[in-house]
Amino acid sequence: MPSLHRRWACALALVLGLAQPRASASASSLPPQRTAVVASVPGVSAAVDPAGQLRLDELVARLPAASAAERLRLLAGLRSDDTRVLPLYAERVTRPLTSRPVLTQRLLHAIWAQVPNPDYPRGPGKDPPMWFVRPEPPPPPVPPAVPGMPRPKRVKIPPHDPEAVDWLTALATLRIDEDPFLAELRGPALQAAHAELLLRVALLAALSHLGRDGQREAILPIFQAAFISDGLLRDQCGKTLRGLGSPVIPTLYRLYRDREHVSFKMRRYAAYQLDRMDRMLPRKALSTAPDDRLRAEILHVYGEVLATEAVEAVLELVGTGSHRVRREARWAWLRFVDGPAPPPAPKRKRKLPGGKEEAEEKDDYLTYRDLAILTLHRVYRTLFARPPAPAATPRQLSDEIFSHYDRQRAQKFQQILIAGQSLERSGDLAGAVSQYLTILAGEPEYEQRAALAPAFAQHGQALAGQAERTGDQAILGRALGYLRVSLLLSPAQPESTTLRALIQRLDDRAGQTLRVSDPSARLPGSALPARAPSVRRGSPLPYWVLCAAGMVCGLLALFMRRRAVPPAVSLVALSLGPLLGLSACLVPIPLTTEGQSDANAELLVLSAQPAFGTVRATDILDPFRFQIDIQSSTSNVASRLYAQMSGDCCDLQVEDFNVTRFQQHADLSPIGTTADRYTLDFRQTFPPCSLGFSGKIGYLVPVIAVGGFADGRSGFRPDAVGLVDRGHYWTIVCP
Amino acid sequence: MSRSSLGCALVRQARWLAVSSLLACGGELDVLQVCREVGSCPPPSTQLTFAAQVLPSSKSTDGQTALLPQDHARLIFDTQGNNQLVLRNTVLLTGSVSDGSGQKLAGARLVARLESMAVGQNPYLLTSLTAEKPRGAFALRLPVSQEPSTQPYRLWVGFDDAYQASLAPPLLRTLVLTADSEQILSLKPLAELATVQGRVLGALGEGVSGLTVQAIDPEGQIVSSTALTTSGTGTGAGSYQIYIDPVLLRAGTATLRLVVRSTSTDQVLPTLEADLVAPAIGSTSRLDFAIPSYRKPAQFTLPLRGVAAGSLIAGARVRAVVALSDATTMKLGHRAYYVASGDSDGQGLVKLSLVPAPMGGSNLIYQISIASPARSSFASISQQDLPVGATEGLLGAVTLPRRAEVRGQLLNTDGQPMAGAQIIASRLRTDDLPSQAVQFLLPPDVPQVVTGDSGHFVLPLDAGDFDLDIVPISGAQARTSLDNVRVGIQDRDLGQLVLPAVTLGQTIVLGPSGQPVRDAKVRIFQLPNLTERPGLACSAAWPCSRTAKLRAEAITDANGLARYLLPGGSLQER
Repeated sequence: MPSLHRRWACALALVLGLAQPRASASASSLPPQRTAVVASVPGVSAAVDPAGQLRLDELVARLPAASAAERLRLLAGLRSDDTRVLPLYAERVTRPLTSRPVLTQRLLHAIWAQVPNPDYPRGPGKDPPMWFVRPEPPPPPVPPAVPGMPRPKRVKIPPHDPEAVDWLTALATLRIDEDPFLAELRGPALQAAHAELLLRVALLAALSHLGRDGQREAILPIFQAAFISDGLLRDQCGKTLRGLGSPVIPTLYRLYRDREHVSFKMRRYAAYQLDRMDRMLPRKALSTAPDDRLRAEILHVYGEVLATEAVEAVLELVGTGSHRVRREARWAWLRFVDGPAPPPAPKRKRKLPGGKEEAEEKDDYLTYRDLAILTLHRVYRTLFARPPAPAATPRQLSDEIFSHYDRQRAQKFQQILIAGQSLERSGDLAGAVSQYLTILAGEPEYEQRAALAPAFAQHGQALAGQAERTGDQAILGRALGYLRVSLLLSPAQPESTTLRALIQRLDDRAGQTLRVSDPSARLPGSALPARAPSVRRGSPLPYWVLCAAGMVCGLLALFMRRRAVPPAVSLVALSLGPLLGLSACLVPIPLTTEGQSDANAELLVLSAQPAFGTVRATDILDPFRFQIDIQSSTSNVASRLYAQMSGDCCDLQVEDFNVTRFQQHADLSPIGTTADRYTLDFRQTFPPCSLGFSGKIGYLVPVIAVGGFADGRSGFRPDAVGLVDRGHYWTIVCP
Repeated sequence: MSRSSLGCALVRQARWLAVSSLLACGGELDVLQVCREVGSCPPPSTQLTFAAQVLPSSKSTDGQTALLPQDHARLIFDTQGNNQLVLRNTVLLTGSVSDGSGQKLAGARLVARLESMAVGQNPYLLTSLTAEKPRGAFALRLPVSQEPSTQPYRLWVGFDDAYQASLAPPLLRTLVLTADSEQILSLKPLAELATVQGRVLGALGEGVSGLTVQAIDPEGQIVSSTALTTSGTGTGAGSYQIYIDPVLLRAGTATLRLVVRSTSTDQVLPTLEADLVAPAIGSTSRLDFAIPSYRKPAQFTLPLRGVAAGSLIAGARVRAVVALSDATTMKLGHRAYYVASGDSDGQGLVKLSLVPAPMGGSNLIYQISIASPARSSFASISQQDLPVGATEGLLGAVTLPRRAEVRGQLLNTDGQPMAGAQIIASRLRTDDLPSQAVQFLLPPDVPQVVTGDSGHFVLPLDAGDFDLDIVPISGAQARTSLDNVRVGIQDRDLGQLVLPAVTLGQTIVLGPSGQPVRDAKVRIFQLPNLTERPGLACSAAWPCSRTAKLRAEAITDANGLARYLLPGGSLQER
C-alpha cells in the first residue's frame, strides 16, 4: 500500500481518535494452554496503551445512540492500513466479552447468525446440535381451499442460512428497540452488549483488512478470537479466515501440527478451516498460492513440521524455475530424507483370516522418511529410466535428482544466452543485457555469469559516456548500476580495475552533483508568512528522476516477482539501485503537508567530514564521527542520520528496521565568525561497519531539513519541514 | 541571524548565486558580539592547551597542489591573541603493489591513515586504487604530519574485490613521511603466511556457500585474507581457505578469533566464532564449522516500558543475542551467535526476528542490550536476559529503570543566568571493552538539553562517567565543558556553573607558499588535562576524559583570517 494511502487511512483513524494503538495483551485472557499459542513467556502481558483503549471504549459508548449509517461510518474508521494498530486490535478482539452470554447469543440469533454449542457433543439432550440456531418462524398458513379451484399450495420459505449473514451490516442495522425477538431482554445491558459485539465484529473486519494487506500477524488474533467466550464469534472468525485465502495456510498448518502447545480443539479447528478452504492437501495449497513467496513459505512449514502428506508435493517442486521455491523445496525435501529421524511407527502382528496372527510384527504405517524414500525411488526411476543404485543413500539420490533438474535449467538458459550473444554481436547491447538479466533472475549463481560481464560493462560505459555528455543523472545512475553488475558477475575480469576506477569517479560525481541549493533548484519565494509550516522537496530533480526510477523499479519488481530471485540477484538488484536512477540518493520523504512556502529558506551543503562519497573502513570497529558543514539563511535547521542497511541507497524505509535504521539527530552549531555557516555534528562516534550492513557496502544518509522535522526533536522519522536535502550520502565499504 | 538591512539581503541573494564569494555583512558582529569592542576581550589563556585542525575548502590550492586537511598540535598565541598557521607541504607517495610472486596487482585499495592529534576526532583517511597502466602503480598525495616520527602514517593495502581479498591478508605498513617517497609494496608469499582451511556445514550436513571467513586479533583487527565459502555440490561445497599473516599479530597474542558470518540479507544465519591458537609462519591447520540446527526466525514483539506506570519507551534500540548450539557445534568446539536488532515504535513495541525455542524444549535465553533514547527519563540496559519461547508472538515486557537526573544552573561570566545554551553529555571513551563484545552492544545516544530562561537544565543520564560540553548561544560566550562527571543511579545537582571569561583568538592560515588560505574551516580544540587527581580524575577508579574538546570553529576570510571565542579558563562550580 502506498505510503500516501496509509497516511490517509491513518489520518482517518486519527480523526476517529483511534490511530494510537496500544500494546497487545492478547495472551492474558486465555487459559494457559491457549496462552502458549501467542505468548512465548506465558502469563506475561504486554504494555497497554491506555489512550488507545480509551478511544475504543469511547467508540463503544457512542454506538448505541448512533444511527445505523453512522455506526457503519464510525466502525469503518477502524479499518486502517497503519500496522501500528495491530496490537491494539489484537488485544481487544481476543479479550473475553464482558456482556452476558444470553444477551450476545440473543443478538446473534436476532440477525440469524449461529453460535456454537459449547457442550457439544455431551449435551444438551440426547442428540445435541453442534450449532445453536434461531428457530425458523412457522410457515404462513395455507389459505382455505375454494371449491372449483385448485387446492392452494403451501408457500415454501427457504430457511435462513446462518453462514450467509453479514454480521457487521446486520448488527449495525439491527433495531434492538423494535425487534420483537429481543423484546424480553431489552434494556441498557442489551444495548451495551450490542455495542460490544459490533466493535468485535468490526475489529475482526479490520484485522482481516490488515491480513489482506500482507500482515500475517493479523491472522493469529482472528484465530484466537474464535475461542473466546465459548466460541461466540467462531462462525465469523472462520468466515474471516477463509476470506483471507492462501496467506493463512502457514499459520493454520503450523497450529494444526503443533501438538505441544496447541489444544486439540484448536488444532481440529485449524484443520477444519484448511479443509473448508480446500487447502488441506499440500498439492492444492501449493498450486493455489498466489505468489512464489507464499509458496516458499508454505514449503518451509511443510519441511519444518515434517508433514508426511506433503512428501510428494515437495519433491515435485525441487526442480521448479523459481529460485526461492526451489530452495525451500530442496530444504524441506532434505529434511524428509536426511533430517531428524521420525519416531518409529508402532508395530504389531496382524490378524489373518481364521483368527491366526502373522508370524512377524509389521509397521502400522509409513513414516515420512519411509514415504519419502519410496517416492524418491519412484521419481528416480521415472527420470533416469533405471533403478537407483542399491548402495546410494537417499541423500545421494536426492542430489542426483537436483543435479538433473539443474542441468535441464542450464540448457534452457543456454538458449537465452545464445540469443543474448547474438544481440551482443549485432551491437544491441541493451537487448543483450535484457536477455542476460532474464538468466540471472532465474539462476543467480549462473555458471557462465562471468561471460555476461563484458556486455554489462560495455553497456554501462556507453551510458556513462552519454551521461557525461548530457549531465543526465538518471543515465548516470543506470550506468553505475550496469558497471557494478558487471563487477559482481566477474570480479576478476581484465577490465576490473578500469571499471572500479570509473565507478568511483562516477560515484563521487553523483554524490557531488545533486545540491539542493543549486540556484536553479530553489523554488520561488512566497508571500506567505515566514513561519508558515511547509514541507517540500528541495531539489527539482526528484520529480522526473524519481518517476523514472519508480517505473524501472516497478518493472524490476514485476520481473523479479515472476521469476523469484534471491541471493545473488538480490546483490545484482542492490547494485541496480544506482541503475534505477537512485545514485543521486533521492529519498522519497513522506510528506505530511504539501508545500506552500519555504519561507525563503536557503540551504547549501558545503562539505562533510569525512567527505561525502566512499568511506573505506579497514576494520569492522573503525569508529567515525560524521559532520556536515552547511550554509543556511536560517538557524532552524536539523539533520538526521540514517543507515541504509540493505545496500540500495537511498530509498529510506523507516518502517522496516532491516532496511533503514535511524542513527542520530543533530542540531545546528554556528561556525565562528562567518554568517550563515553552520555545522551539523552527529556527536556520537560509532563504527558503521558494526551496524550489520548486508554485504560489504552500506550507506549513511543524512536528511537535512530547514525548519526541522515533523515529529520534533525527539522523533526519528525523516518527515521534514521546509527545504530538505537528501542528495548527499556516505558509502561505507567494510572489510 | 536576522538581518533587516535591504542591502545585506541583496548581498545575500547575490551570494547564493555566487557561493564562493562569501561576504561578511555583519555576521562577525553577531557571532563575536561579546568581543565587539576593540580590546574588550583578552587573548587566550596560556594556561590552557589548544590544538587546531584546518580543513581547507575542496577548491583551495597552493599553486597546482590541492590543500589537504591537517592538524597543528599546539597553538601559541601572542599577547594580542594572534596566531599564524602555515599549512605544511604535501608529499607524493608513489609506488606499486605486487603479489607474493612479484606480479603487479591492479585494483588494490590503499588507505593511508593518519590519526588526528585531537583525540576523538576522525583520522585522516586518503585512499587510492592501483592502476591498470602501468599495472600496479599508485600515487597518493598526503599532508605531512606535524611530528612525522611520532605521528606516522599507517598504510593499509587490501582489496575491494572479494576474489582478490581471498588471496592475501591485508598489508600494513607504518610510514614516516617527510618528503615525496616511493614505496614498492609486495604482498607476502604463501610461504610466509599461515594457512587455515576447513568447511562450513549446515544443519543437515551440506556445505554452506557465500559466507565470509576472517581471522580477527584481540584488538579487532583483521589479520587474514577474507574468504568466501565455496558454492557447488558435494563435499567441496562450503569449503574455505584463509591466509593469516602472523607478523600482523601483536607480540604476546596467544589466540585469534575465526569469524564466519553471512553477508546476505536473504539468509538469516548465525555468526560462528572459534578460537584459534596464533599460527606459526608456514603452518597449515584445519577448522571446521557447523551451523547449529535451529528453527527459522519468527517475528516476536517485545514491549518496553518505563518503571513508572503506563510509561512506554518509543525510539529505543534493542539488540538481542543468543548463543546457539547443538551436538555438532559442541563437538567442533565453536560458538554460534544469532543477533537480531530492532527499535521500538510509538507504542514502545519492538519487533524482533528471533529464533524461537525448540518445540517442546526449554526457552532460549537471549542477552538483550537496550539503548534508551537520549530524551527518555528511563535508563538504557547494557545486558539482560530475555527468555524466548517456542511460539512467535508477544514477549514479556522489559522494564527500564529510571535515569538519574543531572541538574544545574548555568551562569555567564557576570553571574547572570545563561539561557539557550546547549549542554551535551558525552560518555568517556573506554578501551577496556573486549572487541567481540562491541559488536553485540549498542552505542548509547548522546543526550543533550538546552538551558531554560533561568539557566537551569536537567539532563537524564545513564550511570557512567561523562563530559558535559557547554555550547552557549553563538557570540555570547565561549564553549567550555565540565569534564569527568560521574553519574550513578541517584540524581545529582551540580549547583551553579559559571562560564569562564571569554578570550578572543585570531588565526591567520597561510598556505605552504605563504599565501593566505581563504574559506578554510579552522577548528580549535582544547586538549584535556591528564594530570592524575586521586578521587577525582585520571586514576584507576576514576577515569578521565582523553578526548580533545572542540572549543571553536571559524571560516577564514579572504585574508586567511579566522576569529573565534575561546574560554579563558575552566568552568567554575559554585
